[in-house]
Amino acid sequence: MAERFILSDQELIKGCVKGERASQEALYSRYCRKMMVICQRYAKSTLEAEDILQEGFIKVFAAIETFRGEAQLNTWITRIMINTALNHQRQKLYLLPMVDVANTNLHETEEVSLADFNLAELIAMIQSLPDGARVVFNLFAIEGYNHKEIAAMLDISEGTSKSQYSRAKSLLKSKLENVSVYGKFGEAKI
Amino acid sequence: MENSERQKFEENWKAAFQDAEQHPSERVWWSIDNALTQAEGGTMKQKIVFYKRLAAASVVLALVLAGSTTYFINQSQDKLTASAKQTENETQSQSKTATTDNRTTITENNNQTLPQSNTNGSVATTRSGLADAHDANLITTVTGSKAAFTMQKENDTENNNVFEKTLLVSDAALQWPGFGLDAYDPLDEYHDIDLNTKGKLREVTIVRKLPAMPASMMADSRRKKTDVKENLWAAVNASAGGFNSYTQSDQSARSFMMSSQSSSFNNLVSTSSQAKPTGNSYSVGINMGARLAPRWVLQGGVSYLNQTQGYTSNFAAVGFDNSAKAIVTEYTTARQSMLALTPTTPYEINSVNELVSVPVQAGYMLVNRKFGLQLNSGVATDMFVRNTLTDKSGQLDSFSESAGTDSPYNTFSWSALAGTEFSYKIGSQYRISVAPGLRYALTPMLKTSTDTTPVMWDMGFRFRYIFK
Repeated sequence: MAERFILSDQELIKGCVKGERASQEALYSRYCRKMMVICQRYAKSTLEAEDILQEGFIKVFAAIETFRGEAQLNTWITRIMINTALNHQRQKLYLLPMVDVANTNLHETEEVSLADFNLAELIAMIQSLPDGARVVFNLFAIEGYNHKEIAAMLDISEGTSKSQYSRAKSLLKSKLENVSVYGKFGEAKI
Repeated sequence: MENSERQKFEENWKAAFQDAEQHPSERVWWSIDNALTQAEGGTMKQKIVFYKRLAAASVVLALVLAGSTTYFINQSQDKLTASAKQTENETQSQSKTATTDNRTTITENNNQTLPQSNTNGSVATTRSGLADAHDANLITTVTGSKAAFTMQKENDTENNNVFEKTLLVSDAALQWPGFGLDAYDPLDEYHDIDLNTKGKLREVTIVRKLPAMPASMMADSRRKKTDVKENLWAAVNASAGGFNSYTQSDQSARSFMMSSQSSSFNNLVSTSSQAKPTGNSYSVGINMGARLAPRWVLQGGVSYLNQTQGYTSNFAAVGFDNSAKAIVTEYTTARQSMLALTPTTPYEINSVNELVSVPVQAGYMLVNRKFGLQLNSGVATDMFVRNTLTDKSGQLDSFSESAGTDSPYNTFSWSALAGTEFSYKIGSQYRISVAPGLRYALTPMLKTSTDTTPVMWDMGFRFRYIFK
């Protein structure tokens, strides 16, 4: 599905507004890979990530007329993907409400470089996190939201957001250490 | 320290995913494509309704045009028949007045169409003051723009028939001033019928389903389609159709007095030429077109336009070499002082107008796929080339007029154009189309008539070559 024509975002948007399938496909081709990574970070599995990706792009095409160009198209699509992913996760979070977890002591650890890991490994680490911790970690560490905003988005308390993040961070650090120590011998389990 | 470590931790993760990309599987786009297709189902329904309405409007328009044309042709034919018989009777009256002193024929002039009959005796009366001034041998003819009536003695049975027929035409004109405003509606009695359907009405949902196809193949097929965009094209076109008379129907029977011997009323002869209500036309030409916007196009070109109209005339022009040429009233009114005329028996004339037309049209593409539907509208500058009058029997010489200051025809005239174009794309670079259209004359072609604006309708055929 390689993109065959170099069209600007504006041209693609115009085509999508008119409902031209070629433009929609070109827009999808341009952004699907980046968005797939975002979806994978929020989802528990690749299959779930693809469901989120599909739902997200359908929303993008349905709402493309409302895109005013105030933000970059990439940012706008990313926001829709995150909202779609959160809607997916909210259903789980409703069933398994997030609660404060015991503060994990962030003991001093040896710094492990993420450059030693490939993308699939990093995604697998994040996907292995509990649902609540995974969502908060994504929003706080990667998207850059603060705990107050996360609390409002997920309808949880700020303290819950902080504790979930601490848990995610602790779990990730330990996973990173395990992989870096035992990974060489192929024994590490992410 | 902890704070800085946290920041570093977050930055590392953020950087790790900064430009990360991962290919989703092909099924994602298939699912999106299917979902979008199903969502288009609603839009398709609206489009179908629109096209249904468009088709219904086209049918109604065609029916109205056909009805109007039929009514117009029938009315004109009735008038022509009545006028022909009237002329015939006038000729008979002339022979009778030459031998009978007791009979007086008085006609009404100055567009007074109300007939007045004299019930007392053998003489009809008139509003014309001229009639009283002359003796019984005087014959005047009708020159009004409307149907006029010749009133003659009631005991003249032949002429009574003419009067009755002429009156019928007049009555029809008075009774139906417009096109059937008071017309009888044959469906009137059915308007109040209650249409009750037996079954229950159900809404039909039409969903367009596309065959599942790998996205890569779909991309290829789209690529083929978009290889040649229809941005610029050249076309040859030919069309044939008809037009209503350049001479208005109520002015189609023009007549005037002509005398072979000056200062002698006895030798005055009524001459006239009558145009057939409709003529035939054809055109051939080339044009170019360019797309200005996704659905807007501009087309222009040049075409040769030939219009043929029939006349009946009972006089001829005498040339310098004493040859008799076919002629009609439009010429004589413009060049009365320059032409020597001679009466003849009625004969048929073919009048052929040749023009070069330069049309410029804007088009809106309602459908732009393999099948195309386009609405066109614009103007055309028509340059008059030549008019040729030919006696159908071949007894008289042809008379030809070209454009010029002394020509009865305007060199330039303008027409409004409107039409549709139904096209079908053949291959990637050709498109054929049929194009029914209308041409309405904005300015008259004849200098002597300022209010004649004929309508021309035709069916065109176009063959378009699309440039790469």
